[in-house]
Amino acid sequence: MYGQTDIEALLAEYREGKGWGALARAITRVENSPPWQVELPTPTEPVQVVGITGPPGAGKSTLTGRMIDVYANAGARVAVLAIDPSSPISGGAVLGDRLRMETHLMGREDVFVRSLASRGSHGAIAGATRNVARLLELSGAFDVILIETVGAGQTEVAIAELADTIALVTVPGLGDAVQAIKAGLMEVADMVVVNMADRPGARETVRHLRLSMGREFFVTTTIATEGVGVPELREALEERWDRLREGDGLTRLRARKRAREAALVAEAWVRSCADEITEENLDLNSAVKRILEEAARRWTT
Amino acid sequence: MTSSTADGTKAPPIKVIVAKPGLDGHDRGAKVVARALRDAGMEVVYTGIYQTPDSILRAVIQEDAAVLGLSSLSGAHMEYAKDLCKLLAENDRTDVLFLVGGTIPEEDGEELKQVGVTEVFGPGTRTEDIINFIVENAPER
Ligand SMILES: Nc1nc2c(ncn2[C@@H]2O[C@H](COP(=O)(O)OP(=O)(O)OP(=O)(O)O)[C@@H](O)[C@H]2O)c(=O)[nH]1
Ligand SMILES: [Mg+2]
Repeated sequence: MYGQTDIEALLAEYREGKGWGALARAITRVENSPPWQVELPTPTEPVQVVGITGPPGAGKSTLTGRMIDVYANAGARVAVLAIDPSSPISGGAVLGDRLRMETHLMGREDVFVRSLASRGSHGAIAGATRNVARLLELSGAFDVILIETVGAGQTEVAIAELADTIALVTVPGLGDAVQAIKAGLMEVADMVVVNMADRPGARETVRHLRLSMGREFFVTTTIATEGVGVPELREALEERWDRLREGDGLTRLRARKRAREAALVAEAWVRSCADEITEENLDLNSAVKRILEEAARRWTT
Repeated sequence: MTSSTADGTKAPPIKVIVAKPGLDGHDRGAKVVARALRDAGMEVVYTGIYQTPDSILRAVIQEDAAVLGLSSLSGAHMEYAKDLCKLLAENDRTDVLFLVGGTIPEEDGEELKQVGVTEVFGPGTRTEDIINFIVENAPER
């Protein structure tokens, strides 16, 4: 759809100091291309990609807005990708996360916020989102990249799990924690944030989480509406990043994530291939053979 | 959307910013429009009330929107629209479809278009009309 050179030219334009416009346009190109059609170089200067996920309404956007403040006040340049679900019926979406972050953008010219819709299959959107994050990393414009996803199902877990660090945001009361466990979020989380700590039951929830996740596991509380606990969250994220950057921790982590990404993207490709051959009405084994032949043709050059 | 690109793949959804400038806090109309556009297959960033021309411009650029819809009930639409037209031009975003809707008196409509607003949707506009206009005129991204 779009040439690789297009994306690189836009990135170069951005680097020449032409403002956010060129970077934003490059994101659109990446977003609109199936992830297997986008080939971005491996960033040489890695930037921590943080996935902020959790049940709907847990306060992820409010918290992300506060994180913009805390990072910016520490001199860091912040990028945010905020993902909201697409309507399965119309394919459209109302992207409401930006609204919660607006007040934190005032007078901050080096903060970049982009809303994305979770179009299509989970492999495709996870791959596309990771590619957008990679593009932000390659731009050299950011010190941290925050990705907000709704932690409600497979698609959202797939997006979040490709980040370097996954912060699961939950709220007091066991209902939402149970939801998160069901969605498979607990397994991928690197830390848990109990937000809305101004509500009753926060301490109970923390205790319960520590019991089930083990003492080593980082659990913290925040009141996102007031910014309470957010500097501590940033510190934990920075500590994790420093630890990863010692030795080959990050290299190994990214290799693992990239393998996972490859599996998701390959799966999305296979699905799109399967869609294309439905007309041919093949029996099952012939269809499988057909897909694998197609795969060999597409991927051997 | 049913429109297709040359190579037969589905065209990506049209990205729209719906913004509400100024001090009037009534955003029911803006929300209704946002949902109608979503139901027509568009991706709508709703930026909320009390927006300034600068914050709206920032959203248009960072979101790479094809369409900007300004909802105004306060009567201050003229000033905001003028500021935004200037900002869009200065930032190389004149191709953005700039729509203004709300309680716009008829005589203001012409003036808004003269300063650079693409189309004005006054009282009694049906959402279908807005949708059709966008589908027909939105620039490709
Ligand atoms: N009392 C209290 N309310 C909060 C807190 N954090 C967020 N909220 C409120 O919770 C509501 C939802 O917050 P959002 O930040 O939109 O939540 P979200 O997780 O981003 O929601 P989705 O993106 O829709 O999943 C808003 O009304 C917030 O003001 C908190 O720490 N305490
Ligand atoms: Mg949100």
